[in-house]
Amino acid sequence: MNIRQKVSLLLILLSIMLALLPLTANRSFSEKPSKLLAEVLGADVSVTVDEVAEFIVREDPDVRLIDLRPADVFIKEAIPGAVNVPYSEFIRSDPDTWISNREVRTIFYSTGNSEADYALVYARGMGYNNCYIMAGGITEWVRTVLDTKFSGGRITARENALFETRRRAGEMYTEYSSLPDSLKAKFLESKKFSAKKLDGGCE
Amino acid sequence: MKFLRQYPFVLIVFLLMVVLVLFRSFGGNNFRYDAARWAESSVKGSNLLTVDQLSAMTGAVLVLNLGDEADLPGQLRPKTVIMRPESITGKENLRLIRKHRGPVILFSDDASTSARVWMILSEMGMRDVYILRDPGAVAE
Amino acid sequence: MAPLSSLYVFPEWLNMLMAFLIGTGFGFALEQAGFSSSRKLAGMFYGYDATVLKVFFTAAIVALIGSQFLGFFGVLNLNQVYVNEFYVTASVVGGFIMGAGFIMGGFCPGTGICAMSIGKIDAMVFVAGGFVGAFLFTETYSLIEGLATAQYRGPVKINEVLGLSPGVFTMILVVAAVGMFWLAELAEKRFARPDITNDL
Repeated sequence: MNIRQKVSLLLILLSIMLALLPLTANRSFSEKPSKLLAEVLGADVSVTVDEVAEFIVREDPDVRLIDLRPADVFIKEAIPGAVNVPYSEFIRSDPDTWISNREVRTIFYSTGNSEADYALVYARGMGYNNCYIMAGGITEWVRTVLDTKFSGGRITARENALFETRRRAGEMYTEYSSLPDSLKAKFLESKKFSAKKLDGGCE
Repeated sequence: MKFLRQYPFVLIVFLLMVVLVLFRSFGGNNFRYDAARWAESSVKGSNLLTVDQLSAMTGAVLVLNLGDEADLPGQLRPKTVIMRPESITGKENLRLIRKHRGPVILFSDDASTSARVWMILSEMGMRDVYILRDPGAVAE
Repeated sequence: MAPLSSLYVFPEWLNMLMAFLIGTGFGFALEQAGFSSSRKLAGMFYGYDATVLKVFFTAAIVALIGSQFLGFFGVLNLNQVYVNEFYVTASVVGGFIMGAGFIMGGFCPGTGICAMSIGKIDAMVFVAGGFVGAFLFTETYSLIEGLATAQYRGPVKINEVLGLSPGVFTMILVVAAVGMFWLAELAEKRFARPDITNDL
């Protein structure tokens, strides 16, 4: 039998196998389960709201906040600088679109914790180790940053710095959230992720 | 098959690919293909159970207590297994979960832990895993 | 594992070196297969030699099967593979021009460069013609822009248009390709001409 027939036969058999597989363009987790589990149960995957407040006040360029809440909630109130990727969209498309830049730390947050937790495991499972969550989500943010009032007589220098950061982050949050929707939409449009355009082609 | 045996080279390559594909699809301690499909029920929220829904469930329910002991209402306690979350991918624990026919309920006083463990178990191909919502309410 | 280029940043010279090595390998393979001969390429048109069809189609289906398997095993992220953008009118018009140039010149752009580098004078003229064409295209682009960008469909995939899963489409294409090879070999016998392997 000549080699052409063998190769043809092999290619046909392999393609039949492919036809039987549930192929999609979606990706799969690449880490080992036990390694991933240890990683995401560790304490160093979460960032406190105070740390986030500090990033905001310092306008830290090495941090990117991703808001997983639905778009209509996001437009009403959001942490300044955050980018909105609704959770359903995050799961259903390639996360590489949003978190491929490994030079920055990506911090997820949602209303409470759950969706940020899912997204954290999802992203880390695919090998994006630059992902973290903001512990407690927006609920905790509002409780800690917006609603803390200075009380009592004496205050230490460190406490003072903490309260100052919270106050300024809170001001920025309120100011940003009270912008008219049209203005905000325009601002967000300029920050929107443009899906990376791939170069290539062949002749 | 006799037809194939005339071409040993074709047969070897084909069988090798079959083995690799089977291992990728059903290999024991691995994540399954297509992460988005396994995460879908977390988008819809159908992976969450309330205490009432859990109490109404008939059949074999396995409740995994990932937190500290106690907290569950009396009638559920016999079905509960206490499991440290960090050891859930251990051989014995995985076998226990996989062998169980029926829903597996994750329960923890820290909602983050159950959410993260849920994502890992479900990406490993376990469909019938749920999170018990609002565990605080159970204690009361 | 994502594609290599998104995991690591390679230095520019290494990218260039890899491109050079892959290009050299490609040229060598073309020359080995006899593609630097315009008689072999024109044979496709007259039906006496279907090597071009067989080689390019085999390359396409091997790459297709390979990339699908690599995607399945998580080695290759298929979302990051470039999909050519589809301009319907431009593809039809360009296809006719390309086909006419192919049969008149006796080369396709890649094999033309391959033949030029082994010193064939006709190939040098062919490549020079290609440059003139590219120059004219650029200079007159404003006139033909409407034609070039008409009926833009974006980076579409055939299997998505047909509503088939990638695997099923792969199978259909492979079976069709093998059937085509069989027909091509029949045609080769029907329109046979003296063997030219030794003249090349």
